[in-house]
Amino acid sequence: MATEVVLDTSYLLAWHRANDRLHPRAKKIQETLARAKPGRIVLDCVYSELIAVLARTRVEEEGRVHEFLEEERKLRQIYWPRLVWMGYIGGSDLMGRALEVSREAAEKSGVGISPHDAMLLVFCHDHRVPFLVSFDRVLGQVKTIEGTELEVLVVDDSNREALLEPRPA
Amino acid sequence: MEKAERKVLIKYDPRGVGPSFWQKLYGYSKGKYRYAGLLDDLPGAGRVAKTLIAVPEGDVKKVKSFLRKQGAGFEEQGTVAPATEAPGFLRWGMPREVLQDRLEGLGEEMDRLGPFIKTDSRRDALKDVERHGY
Repeated sequence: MATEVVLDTSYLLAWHRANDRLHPRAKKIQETLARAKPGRIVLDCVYSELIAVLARTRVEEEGRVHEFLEEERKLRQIYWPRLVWMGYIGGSDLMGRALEVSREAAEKSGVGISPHDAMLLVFCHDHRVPFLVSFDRVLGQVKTIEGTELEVLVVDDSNREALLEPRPA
Repeated sequence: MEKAERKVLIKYDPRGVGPSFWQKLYGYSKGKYRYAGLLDDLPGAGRVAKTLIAVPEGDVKKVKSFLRKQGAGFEEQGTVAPATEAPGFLRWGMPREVLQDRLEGLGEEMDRLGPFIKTDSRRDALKDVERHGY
C-alpha cells in the first residue's frame, strides 16, 4: 500500500468541483486513496495555485464573488492547518533548483514543466514520496532529477491500483 | 490564519523522562480520536525536529516548567523570527514522523468535503490549471 502521496492542483480541483469533466476520474482516485489510506500531502504552492485557478474561474469568468469567498473559506478550513510549507519558505535555493530541474526536464526528457511543477518533483525526490496524483501526463514523462533517475509514479485513474500494491522491501 | 509571533526554540534531552512524556508533550491519536498534548494547547507551538520545539515567547515558562517536572533537560537555542517561520510548522525538511503525524486526518476531511463547488458550466480542471496556473 502507498504510504504517502503528493496531490497536484488538477486532482484537487477535479475532486472538489462537482460539474468538472474530470470529476468522475477524480472520484475513482479518491475511492482508491480511501482504501490505501496513504498520508495525503498538499504543498503550499499547490494550494496557492488551486486558489489562483478558482479565483480566476469563479470571479473573473463567472462573476461568482460570494461563492468564491465561501469556497475559499471551506477549503482553507481543511487544508491550511495541514499544508506542507515548501515553495514559500524554500527561498532562492529552492527556486534555483526548480529552475534547473525545469531545464533538465526539457534537455533530458524533452518535456516542458513549470518551476512550480518542478518543485513537486523536487519534494517527492527529496522525501522519497513514491506517488504524485495528477492528471498532467507531462509530469510522468520527466525521467531524471538533478542527474538521478526520478522514482516517482504519476498516478491518475488509469493506474490508480498502484496505490494498493505492496511496496517492495 | 495563525498570528505571526516570535518563538523560542527549546532543545530538550529526553533521557530520564517517563514513557508517557511524548504523549503529554505532543498528544496522540487512538482510532479516530485525537488526544491533545501540551503543545496542542499552545497556539503557534510546534515540533521542528526530533527533540527541538518552538514555543511562542509568552508560553516559554509553561513549557520549561513542564519539562522540569517530567525530568527532561533543556536549553534555549535562539528564536524564530516571524518572517522565517511557517504557520503550523508543517514544513519542508521536517522529520518524516512529524510530517506523517501532522498529516493525519486530511484524507478523511477531503473526502467529507467532497465535490462542493457547483459551477455554472461544465469545466475541465486540467485545462483551467493550464490556463490559470503557474
